[in-house]
Formats: sequence, structure tokens, C-alpha cells
Amino acid sequence: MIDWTILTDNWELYLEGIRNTVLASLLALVGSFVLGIVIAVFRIAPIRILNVIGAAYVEFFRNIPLLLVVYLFFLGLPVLGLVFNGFISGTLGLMIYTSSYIAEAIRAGIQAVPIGQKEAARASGLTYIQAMRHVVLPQALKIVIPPICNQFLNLVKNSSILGVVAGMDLMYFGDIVNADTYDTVSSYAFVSLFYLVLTIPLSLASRSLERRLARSG
Amino acid sequence: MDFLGAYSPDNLKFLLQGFGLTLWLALLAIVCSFILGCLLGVLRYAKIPILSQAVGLIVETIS
Amino acid sequence: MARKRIGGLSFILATLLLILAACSNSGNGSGNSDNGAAQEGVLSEIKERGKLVAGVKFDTKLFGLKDPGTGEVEGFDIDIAKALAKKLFGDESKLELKEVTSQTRIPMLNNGEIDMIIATMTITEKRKEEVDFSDVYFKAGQSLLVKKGSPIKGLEDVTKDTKVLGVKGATSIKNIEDKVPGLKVQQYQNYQEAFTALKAGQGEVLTTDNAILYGMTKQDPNYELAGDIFTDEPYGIAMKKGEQALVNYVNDFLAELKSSGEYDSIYEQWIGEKPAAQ
Repeated sequence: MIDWTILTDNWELYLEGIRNTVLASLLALVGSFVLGIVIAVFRIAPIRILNVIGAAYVEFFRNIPLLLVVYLFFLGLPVLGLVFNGFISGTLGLMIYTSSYIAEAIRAGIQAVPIGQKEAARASGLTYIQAMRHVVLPQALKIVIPPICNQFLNLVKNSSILGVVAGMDLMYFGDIVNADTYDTVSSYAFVSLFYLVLTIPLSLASRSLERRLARSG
Repeated sequence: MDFLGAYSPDNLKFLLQGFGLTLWLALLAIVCSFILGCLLGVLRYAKIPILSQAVGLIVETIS
Repeated sequence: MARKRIGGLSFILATLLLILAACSNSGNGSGNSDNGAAQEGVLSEIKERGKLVAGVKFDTKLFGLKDPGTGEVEGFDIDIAKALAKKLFGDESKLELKEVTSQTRIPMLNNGEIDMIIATMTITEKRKEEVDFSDVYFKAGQSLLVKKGSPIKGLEDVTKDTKVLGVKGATSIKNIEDKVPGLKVQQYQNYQEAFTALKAGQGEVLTTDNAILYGMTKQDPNYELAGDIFTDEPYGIAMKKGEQALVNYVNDFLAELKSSGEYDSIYEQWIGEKPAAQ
């Protein structure tokens, strides 16, 4: 049923795929987190134009398929003269797409922090930015960690989109091994195995993180 | 046909057919995943000796 | 409590892995033993069904292309399939066309979704291990597609750093990687996606059979073939392994088609010139 020689014969391909999947996931993870915080702050800032930009960003990127966001970079940018290869376009697309979800999760977390906290911080003489940084955001992060960990898990799985734009990720090489060996079941069984190796530790880690946060309350 | 390119009536009709299929798929998937999800959720928390753990394994793996 | 749940899940996971490991290397044994019994197999199935199901390309101009306006699939391969349906049932409409790509065609053949593959498929020794081929029904050769005015004039201009595009599962990938050591081709799901990527500038050259490339130049005259063909790509109709009766039937059909002159007229209709002397 499963031919293990397919793994041993093609291990360099699988290895390169895993390497690129991990790289893309890490880059997109960090990028989307940073972007997510920025957009979330835009959305709740007292400046109208920033609110509009933030809302437009979130509504647009959350409501179109991930593949379309990637195509924006892969096929759309070249029209303007900027050609990014499959890996970069895929990672950027993944980053922007996930950041819109993270921005929403953070915004919900910030708004869940009792308004009294922010008022007390401003009343104590802190500027808006200082109030956010030292009082509101730390408390918001506690509420926001579970949905964010969930989004990161989705991000790792969504990284498979790189396979469609020749991004040299695990899914791409899975397709290639399948095309070369004609053993569909085995090639993709190994792909699943490696995705599980990436996602199971992530999900266990996020669950223990949640438990620890709940305790420290 | 090439004058309007992607916006020509033929191509728009083609896209609309795809749109229709997307809507139909979404509706089908939403209804079925809701029903199946409720079922699996109940199975998992009813703590039936082997079935619950099997369901738990499948859910954890796929999600 | 949580530890017990994780323990239970791990136990089941470990059991599943052991079962998978035990199943390894059983190979295709269980599949073939059923087919051995009925040699008439697929051919009689087709006749009983009253309809031929052929896997063809939907995205390749000249060979198998779906017209978005009419919804009809047209091309050289389609006309061959129609002629075969006519021979089988006297009616060329007793034909169902299913879309295949270079990547999906063999799996679809093996699991019975299609009776045969008529989809610009090159006959190779490696593929003969998986499927049975008919006689050659089209002679193509691999070539390169570039934007008009590109500095690449032929295979000799392709280095290992050139961005070459191709399609997953095509023989052209291995061929060009063998001829240009160190080259890694960027592979896409089908020819339309590869062509779109080429047009977006994601690569400098697209490589596959000249017949397919010729169709692409018809779709966008800004692109042209570069250099001579550098491999031989004989196309064959692929059928499930072991179906000797079906293979013989199809070979008889192809011989009839060629001797009656119908092959030449189909060829001229799509390729625009008479086929070279066989």
C-alpha cells in the first residue's frame, strides 16, 4: 500500500520542500504578526483615515481566496514591472492574507480589554502610544493568543499554496514525486506525514501556551 | 471576441457558470460540514471507548 | 487528565503507523489479480456501455482545447477520439471526454475513470511500465517557446541559471534537465498556467512538445519557437496495462485511419500541413 522506497529515493526533494515550507511559514508568521498589530492599531486609532485604511485592508484580504491574494503578487505585480518568483509571491500572499485575520483577532482582543484600563492609563499621563504599549496591548495579547495560534496553524497548512505557483514547497515536490513515480498514494502519504510533523507540535505547543496563560490570569 | 478580452460576453458567461458552481459548492459544504461537525463533536465528547478517540485522532489530524 | 488523552491518541497513532509500515511493499499485487481473469476486460466494458470515455486535454490549443464560448472541446486528439467512437459504435457522438492533465492522466486511467488517454502523451520506456501504448499516432519533438526578441535562440542558449517553465508530469522536464545539467525547471499544473506564468515574466522560456508550443503561438503571437526540436516525442494512446484486446483494436483502428486518408485530413486540419512520410 505504501512504498517506502519512494521516500528514500526522493528524500532530497522532500527535504528541500520541507525546508522551503518551514522558511515560508516562519517568514509569513513573523510578517503577518507585525502587520496584524499595525493594522489592528489602525482600526482602533482615533484617526479616521487610518480606520478606513485598516477596515478596507481587512475586508479585502479576508474575503478573497488565498490563491487570488497570491496571484496578486505572482501575476499582478509583473504588470507593474515587479516580478517576484513563486516562493516570494507565495510567502507575501500568505503573509498579507493571514495578517488580515490576525488584525481582526487582535482588534477583538484590544476591544475586550475594559475601557477603564485605557482611560486610567491616559489619565495617568501616558500618551496614546504609551498607553497601548504598556497597558492595553499586554492585556489584549492574553485574550488574543488562542485565535492567533489557530491562525498560525492555518498558515502552515495554507503554505501549500506555494505548490501551485512553483514555490518549491513540500506540496510542490509532492506533486513532482507523484508525477515521476506514478505512486499517488505513497507520494502524498509522505507529504501528509511531514505536514503532521510540522503541525502537531505547533498545536500541542499552542494548547500548553493557552493553559499556562489561563493559569497566570 | 478579442476586442473585449476577458470581459467579452462569452467569457463572462463562462465565469458566471463558475460563479454559480462556487455558490452551490459553498452552500452544500456549509450544510454538510455543519451536520457532520455536530455529529463528530457529539461522538467525541460522548467518550465512547474507541470511537471517540478515533474521531479525536481524525479531527486533530485534519485540522 | 490531559496526559491520559494525549496518551490515548498517541497509542492509536502508533498503531496506525505500524499498520501502514506492515502494508508497505505489497505493491500493486492486489489490483492486478482481478484484471487477469477477463482479457476482454475494458474493450467489452466499453462496448456494453455504448460510450467511449476518453481522457483528453482541455487546455492545449490544436490538440484538446475547451472553447469557453461553446463549451465544446476541440482538437487533433478529440478528432481521433471521435473517429474511434465512430468505429466502435458507428456514431462519433457516443463519446465522453474527460479532462486530464499530464499529472492526472495515469491515475485516472488506472482507477477506471477513463478508458484511454488521448492527450499528447509521449511514449517512453518508463511509462510503458505503467500503461500499455498503441502505435504512434503523432510525431512531435521537444522545443522551446520564448517571447519575440528574446536572446535565447535555441537549446544552446539555455544554461542552468535560465528560468525554464514546464508542466508537472511531462517528459520534457527530464529531457531538458538531462541536456542542461544543473537546471531546475519550474513546474506548473497545466500548460495554460505555465503559459500565463511565462507571459507574466516568471520565466524566460517554456519547454514542451513543439505541437503544443505551436498552439500557444496561435493564442498569443508575441511568442515564438526558438531553435530546432531536440528530442523525439512520439505520441501514443495509453490504455490500462494488460488490456491486449483493447490495444489490438486501437492499433487496427489507427492503421485503418492512416490507409483511408482520414488521418491525413485530420492532421492537415489542425497542423496546417501534410504529415511527413511515415
